[in-house]
Amino acid sequence: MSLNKYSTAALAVLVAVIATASANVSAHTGATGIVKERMDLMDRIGDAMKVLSGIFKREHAYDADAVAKSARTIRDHAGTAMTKLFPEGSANPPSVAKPEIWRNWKSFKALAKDLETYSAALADAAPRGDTPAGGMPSGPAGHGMMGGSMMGQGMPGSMMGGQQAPTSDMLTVMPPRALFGHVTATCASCHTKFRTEKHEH
Amino acid sequence: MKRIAVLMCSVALVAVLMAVLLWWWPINPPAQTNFPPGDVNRGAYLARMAGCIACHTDIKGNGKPLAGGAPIATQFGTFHPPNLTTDSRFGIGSWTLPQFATALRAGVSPSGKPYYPAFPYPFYGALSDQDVADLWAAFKTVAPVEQPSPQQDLSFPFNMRFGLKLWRTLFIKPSRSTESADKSTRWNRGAQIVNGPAHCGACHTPRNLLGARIETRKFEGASNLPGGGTSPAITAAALKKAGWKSSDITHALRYGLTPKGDSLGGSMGEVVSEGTRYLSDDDLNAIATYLLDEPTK
Repeated sequence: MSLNKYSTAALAVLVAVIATASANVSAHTGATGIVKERMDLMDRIGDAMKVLSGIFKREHAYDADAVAKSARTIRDHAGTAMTKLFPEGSANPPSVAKPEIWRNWKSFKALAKDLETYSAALADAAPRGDTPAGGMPSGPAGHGMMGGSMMGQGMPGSMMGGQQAPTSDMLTVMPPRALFGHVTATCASCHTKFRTEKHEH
Repeated sequence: MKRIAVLMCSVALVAVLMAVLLWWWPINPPAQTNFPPGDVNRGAYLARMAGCIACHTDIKGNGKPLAGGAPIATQFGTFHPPNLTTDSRFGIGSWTLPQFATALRAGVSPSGKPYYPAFPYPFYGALSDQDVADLWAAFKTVAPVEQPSPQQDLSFPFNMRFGLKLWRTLFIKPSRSTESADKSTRWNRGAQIVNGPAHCGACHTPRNLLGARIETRKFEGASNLPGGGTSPAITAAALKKAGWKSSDITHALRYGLTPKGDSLGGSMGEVVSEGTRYLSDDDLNAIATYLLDEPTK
């Protein structure tokens, strides 16, 4: 009799544990707590990027409101909203964060801040519209591809030209496509440095 | 007993003899001296496309442009992309254009040493004289940086550089044009870029135990990349199966984004940020056209 009672109690506990666990586990298999929180944050940024991609890929007509809205979503999830979800040492699986984040915290923080700056600028720039298709070949940062801006003209180190961060004045006049380039370059730079590669294929 | 000793001595002697022969065996191709005048801007563009800047600059370590790249850890040991600035002591400042051409297209240094194929010279063999002259003109504009290039740090037997002569004999085939008269100009331009300077196969084609690409499995994706990474398949079939359209490919190479809105990290992130994002719309379209219609082996 008492055995039965214990079994029932054990079962109840088990059910409760499973229920709690499943509530915390979603799209990211096995992620819980802060790791899940930041994965969800990245997902929301990813969703916004997908909308922006569709527009800058010219799959959808340019929509200033959609650009501004998506850019604001990214802005609101960047900066400290992002970095606060990376407490020291929280790189255990299934997290794909590299421990380098905490060894180079300044650099990580700067990239998160850049993302905030560039996405905010993109939101403000949205009404400026896009360059017509087949127009000027545009690098992501609005650099002409053959304009001698990469190497040459005798400038020391100009082989890497086009890498300088735009000033805040420049951000207020840049076209959305160029700003989108800065946003994506920031994502890539941060993921290259601080994310281990997962493989979905 | 004595017979065994004699046999072993003979084997050792033959091995030493072969090593000496291999060491001495000259591999310099005939030097070419006639080149057209180079165009700096076109060369700079090619340097992006070919990944010179991405590999020979220590991007993560905030190194100076082309002053030497971050170490590349492989199963053979660690490679250090050398200083390619115009410094005459540590860089390539004292080289001539014909020496540069031989290094780039044949993988042989000015002193006649074979380069390790971590340097993708087998792909650069497809570069034209004009391409080489343009690259040279661009490299000449790079500021000198006095920074020594570390020694390559390979494990035995790969640390014996002369062994590469055998490797070359086994695996290097004269570069052959992948162009096709039945295809569009755009397709052919794509073939030229993908199989030449952009050297996509260096990472996306699996390699055998000796580090040579398995051409029958071209673009099927590889594991065991430097640093332990893997690369996805980029055959036309694989790309189509994953739902990649032409605009997805150009967008990924320009902005480093997958169709899902995720960003390409790892070494591909660097390939995009230091290389493909600088390419023209026409060239990115050519790459996509070719990849989505790549002939099956």
